[in-house]
Amino acid sequence: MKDKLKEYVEKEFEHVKQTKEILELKEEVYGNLCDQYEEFIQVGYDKEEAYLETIKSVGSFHKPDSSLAYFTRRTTIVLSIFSIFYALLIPTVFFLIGIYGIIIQLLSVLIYVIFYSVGLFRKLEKLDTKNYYLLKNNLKIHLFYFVTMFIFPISLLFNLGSHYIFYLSFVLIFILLVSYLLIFFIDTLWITEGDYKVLDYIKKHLEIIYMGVVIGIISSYDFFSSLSNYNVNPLYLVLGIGLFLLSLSSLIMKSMTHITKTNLIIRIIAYIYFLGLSILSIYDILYGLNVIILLLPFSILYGISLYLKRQSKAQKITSILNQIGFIGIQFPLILYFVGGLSPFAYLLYFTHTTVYFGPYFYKLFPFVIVVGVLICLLVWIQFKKSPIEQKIIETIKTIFYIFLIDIIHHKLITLFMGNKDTIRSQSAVIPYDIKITLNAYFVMIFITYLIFNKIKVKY
Amino acid sequence: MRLVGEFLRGHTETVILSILNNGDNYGYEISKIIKNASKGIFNITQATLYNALKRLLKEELITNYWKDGLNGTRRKYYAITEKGKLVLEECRRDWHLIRHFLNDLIGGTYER
Repeated sequence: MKDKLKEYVEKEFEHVKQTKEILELKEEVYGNLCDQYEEFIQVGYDKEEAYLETIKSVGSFHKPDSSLAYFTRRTTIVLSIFSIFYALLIPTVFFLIGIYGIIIQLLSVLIYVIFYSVGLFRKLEKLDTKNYYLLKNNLKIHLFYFVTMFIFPISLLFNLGSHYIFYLSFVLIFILLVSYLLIFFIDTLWITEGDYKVLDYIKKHLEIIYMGVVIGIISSYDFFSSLSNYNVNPLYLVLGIGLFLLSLSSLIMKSMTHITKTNLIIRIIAYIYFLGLSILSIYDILYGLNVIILLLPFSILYGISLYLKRQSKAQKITSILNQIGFIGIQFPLILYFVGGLSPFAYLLYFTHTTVYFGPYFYKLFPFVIVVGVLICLLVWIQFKKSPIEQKIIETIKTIFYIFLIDIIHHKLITLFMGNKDTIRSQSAVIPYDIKITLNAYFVMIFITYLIFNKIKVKY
Repeated sequence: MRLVGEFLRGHTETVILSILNNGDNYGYEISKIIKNASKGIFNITQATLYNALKRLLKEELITNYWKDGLNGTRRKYYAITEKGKLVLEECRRDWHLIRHFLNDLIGGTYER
């Protein structure tokens, strides 16, 4: 529990420049908290109660400013109601105008983040620490799955060719979306933790049904039937397992409040595996080039910058691992998202817009700009109050993503499409072994997800 | 009990000086003394305590030093300076004066 106290103190000062004075203050506060915690234990409190009572005595070290935290409660409620109505409009827009609907979808995710951040800051202001961390962790997980699940149904529609799956996915995603928003809204109204848990329970089971029916059964069937019918490049299977390990380790990490030896070992194994895989993939043009040229140097650069920033050895190690893990999980999705395998490509084709790919990909520039601006805005909001080092890191990360989108897109389009006409034939767009790899990835995500749901989440 | 917190909050620094005048002490002990003396009514947070200590350090009314505590942790002890003792004496004089007229004002025994 003392580790938890230490972590609490670290979190309290995480966005403050780590001067000598702050380091000494952290040590002093931690020492005081330990004494107080011991006293609570001695008078008969259990560990959890003692922890909560102890952190209540900390108070706030940060001076009030005019940031989001000081929105009025009424404003927060109005914003939440608006976000619900806004989300209800999305499905209509999505079906009617394709690509623009997706841009609105991206905007809506951004708006949820802003609105929900307002609620969270208000919780922080009231020092309702337990709820704050509970919700903060949930928000992270929700957004992760929300983004991931959004890509699944569209990919399944075009990979497997079943429109029924698409509609089923759509309905379930819509229910999920509304349930998320209800949770955010109710939370903003300060309804009890018990109510929140009931909604969270319903939402979790809807997710499991969705993942089980749509992703698990259909994608698994496709994957294993492909295995039995075709010769598959084993490298892609290896990559799939690597991704599974990364996903698993990342989710385990997300479910922990502090690092234990077990989850650290799992992550280390996953990363060693992944790095070894990258070296192996030198022999493969597609993954080799992209992974080695784009992923690793950036990971190293970013990892070093985080390493220098963090104070303790454990934090330094975690920073690097987290970063590589994050990119490792996002990479295939980005690859899928922009690399000619993109749902956008099909939607554009579907809606007969005049935007084409290949050598003409610069015509997508406005879209890249929109995504880039959204990412920048999100980063700015998240790290408005962060020290300069963090801002630099986030800027590097943002630039990286924008470049990654451009470069990978260009490489893959020219590799597989050649020219704009080939986009009209799906078989020319998706090489079969890549399609299998992606399905393998979905299966892995599904398994990971189920495992994750079985793990008791500690906040 | 409505006034207690307000009164104490306005005199946190004097209270800390007074506690340190009885001997060097560290953060948690200081907050505990305050809590016990106020019969648990006034529970000073670490942030409030730290800000008060910071102001006292800045005015050179106290100094600090590190000392090894239990379980491998270090404790930062605070000690009153000569300047601090002079200021405390002044505050105590002021307090006697204030206490008398507050007694009269709040107790309703003042002369018209």
